[in-house]
Amino acid sequence: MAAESSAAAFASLRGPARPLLIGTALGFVALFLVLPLGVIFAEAFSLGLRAYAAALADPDVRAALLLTIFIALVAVPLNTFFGVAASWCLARFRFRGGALIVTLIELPFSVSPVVAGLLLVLLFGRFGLLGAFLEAHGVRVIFAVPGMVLATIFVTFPFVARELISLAQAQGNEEEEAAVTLGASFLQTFLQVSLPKLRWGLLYGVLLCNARAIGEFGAVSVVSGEVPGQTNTLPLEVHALYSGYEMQAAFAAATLLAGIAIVTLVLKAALESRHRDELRATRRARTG
Amino acid sequence: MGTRIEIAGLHKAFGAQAVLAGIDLTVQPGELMALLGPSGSGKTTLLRMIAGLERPDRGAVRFDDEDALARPPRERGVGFVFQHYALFRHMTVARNIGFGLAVRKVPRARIAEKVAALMKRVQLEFLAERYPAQLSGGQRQRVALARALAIEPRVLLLDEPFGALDAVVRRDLRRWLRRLHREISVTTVFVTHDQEEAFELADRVVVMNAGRICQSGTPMQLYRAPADQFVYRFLGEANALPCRIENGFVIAEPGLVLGRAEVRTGSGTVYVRPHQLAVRPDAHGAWRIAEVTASGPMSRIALARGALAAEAVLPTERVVALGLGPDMAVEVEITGGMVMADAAAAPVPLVPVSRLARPHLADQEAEQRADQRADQG
Repeated sequence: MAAESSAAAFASLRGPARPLLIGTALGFVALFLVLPLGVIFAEAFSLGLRAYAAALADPDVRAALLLTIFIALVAVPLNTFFGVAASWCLARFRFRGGALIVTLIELPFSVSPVVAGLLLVLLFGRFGLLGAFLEAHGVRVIFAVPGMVLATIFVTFPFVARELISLAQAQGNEEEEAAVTLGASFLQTFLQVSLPKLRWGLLYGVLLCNARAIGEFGAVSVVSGEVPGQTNTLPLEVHALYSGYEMQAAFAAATLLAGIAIVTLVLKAALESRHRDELRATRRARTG
Repeated sequence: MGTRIEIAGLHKAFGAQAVLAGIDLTVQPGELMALLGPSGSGKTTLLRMIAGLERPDRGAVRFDDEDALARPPRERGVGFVFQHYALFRHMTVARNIGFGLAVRKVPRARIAEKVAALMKRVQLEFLAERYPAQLSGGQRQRVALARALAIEPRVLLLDEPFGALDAVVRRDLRRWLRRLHREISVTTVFVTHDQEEAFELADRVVVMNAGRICQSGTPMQLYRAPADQFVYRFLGEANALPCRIENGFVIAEPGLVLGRAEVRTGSGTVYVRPHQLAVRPDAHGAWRIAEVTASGPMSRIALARGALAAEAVLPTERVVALGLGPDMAVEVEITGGMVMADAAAAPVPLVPVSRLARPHLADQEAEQRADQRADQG
C-alpha cells in the first residue's frame, strides 16, 4: 500500500524534480558500486592477461580460494539448519524465553567481528578456558581451520534465522494444521508445507549468509594466524598481497571474490524469474 | 452414509479460563449443524476438538461409537475448512486439492482424475494452475472445501466459512453449500456468529455462550421458543420494555396493556422484535416518531411514548406510502413478543392485545377504569 501510494506520488511529480531524483540515485549507484567494481577489474588486468592468469595460478591464492569455499560449505549448511530449526520452533510453539532466544540469535550482528574472534581465542586458545583440554587431546582450534570455521559460523549465524523467524511467525500455523487434518505425517508436513512456504525467505537468507561467510575478514583474521597456503582465506590473502605491495596480484585475487558475488546475484535473479508467477503470488499474499 | 458424532462431558480450560464447561452434543448422521454463538463462546474450540487440533481436559468424542480422541488428527478422517482457508500458498489449486490424496500415496492418475472431478463440482476447472493468492475470496473458499472433500471425510467441519466474504458472495456460497450438502450428505458442523447464516443453512442450530450449550433445535424451534433471554436476544434485535404483570396481563406503562402472558404477578421485561411493531398514522395516537432512518429496502423508525422508547422496522415502501416522518403522532400495535418475568427462568410468549378476545379486553379495561376511579375517589 505504502509503496503503491509513494509510486503514485512519484509518477505525479512535475518539472525537474523527477530527472533530479533519478539522476541522484543513478549517480550514487555508479559512484559506490559500479566504479569500485570497475577499478578492481581494471587494476587486475593492468599488467595484461598473462600476469592476471599468473596471479591466479599462484598456489597460495589457489589454497585460499579452496579454503574459503570449504569454510562456506561447512558454515552455510550448518547455519541453514540452525535457522530452519529455530524458526520452526519459535513459530510452532509459544514458550517462555522465546523472545530472549530471538534476541540472542541477533547478538552476532551487534558484536564486532574482531571481538567475536577474540572470544574464540579466549575460549579455545592455548591459555583459554578449554585450551588445556584441547591440547591434551591434540586438537588445534585457534590458528587453524576449525577456529576459522567456528568464527565464520558465529558471524553468519543470524542471517538465515532472522530472515525465517519473522516470516514463519507472520505466516502462522494454519497451513500445517490443514496438512495434518488432510492426513499428512509430521515429516510430510514439514517437507511439503513448512519448508516450501519459507523457501524464498530461506533462499535470501542462505545467499546473504554465503556472501558474508565468503567475505568475512575480522573474526577470521583473529583466529587464522594467516599462514599463506594454509590458513589464509581469500579476503585474508587479498589483504596479505596488498600489504606486500603486490597490487596487481591483490586485485586479481579480489576479482575472484567479486566474481562469486556476481554469480550469486545472477543465480538469484534467474531463480526469481523462473518462479515469477509463484513469487508474485506469494508476495502479494504476504502483504495482503 | 454419514457418521454420527457424539460428544459427552467435554471440558477445556486455558489456564484459569474455562473455555468449554461440559458440552454434551450428538450430531446425527448426515446432519448439517450450526454452532452459533458470540466470540469467546467456545464454539471454535469445540470444532477444533472434534478435528483433534485441540485436546479436551475431560470428556469424550466418538465417531459412530469409536473413540475419536484415541486417534491423532491425521487419522480421524475429518475435512476441516479454516476461517482464512489455510490454502498452501506455494501450491497451485490442483495440487492443493490433491494434497490429501498425495500424502496417502494414491496413484497419480487417480489423483488427477479425482481433482478434476472436484474442481468441476466446485466450478473452478479453469483455475487449476493458479496460485491461491491469485483467487478471489469466494474462489479460495471453494478450493478449501474441495481440498477437504478430496479425502472423502467422515465428518466435514467449517470454521466461520463465510466470515471473510462480502455480502453477495456470502449469500451465493451459502446456497451453494446447502445444495452441495444435500448431494453428498456428509455429517457437517459449521461455526458461525451470524444467526441469519445459521438459520438459512442448518438443519439444527446449537446456541453456545460462555462454554456451554444454551439451546439446540431447528431454527423454527429456537425462534418460537427460546430457552432463555440470551438465546432470544442473540437470535435477533429486540426492544426491551420494562413491564408489570398483573393477573396475567402485561402492562408496560400505566394504562398501556400489551397483552397477556402466563406469568405470575410481578415485574419483568417484554421483548419485542422491531418487525413485531405495526405503525400507522393517527393524530390521536399516544406514540410519536423520533426519527426515521432509511437503509435500503427496510427502514428503522425510532418511537417514543413518554419514557417508553422502541424501534420498529418497516418496509421502506410502506413508510413512504404511510408518509411517516419525524414528530408525527402514530398508533403502534404490538403483534408478538416474549415476556421475561424477573422471577422466571425462561421467557414465555406474549399474546398481544390484538389477538385477545374483545370482551376479555373490555373487561380488563373496564376494571382498570374502575380502579383508577377508585384511586381518585
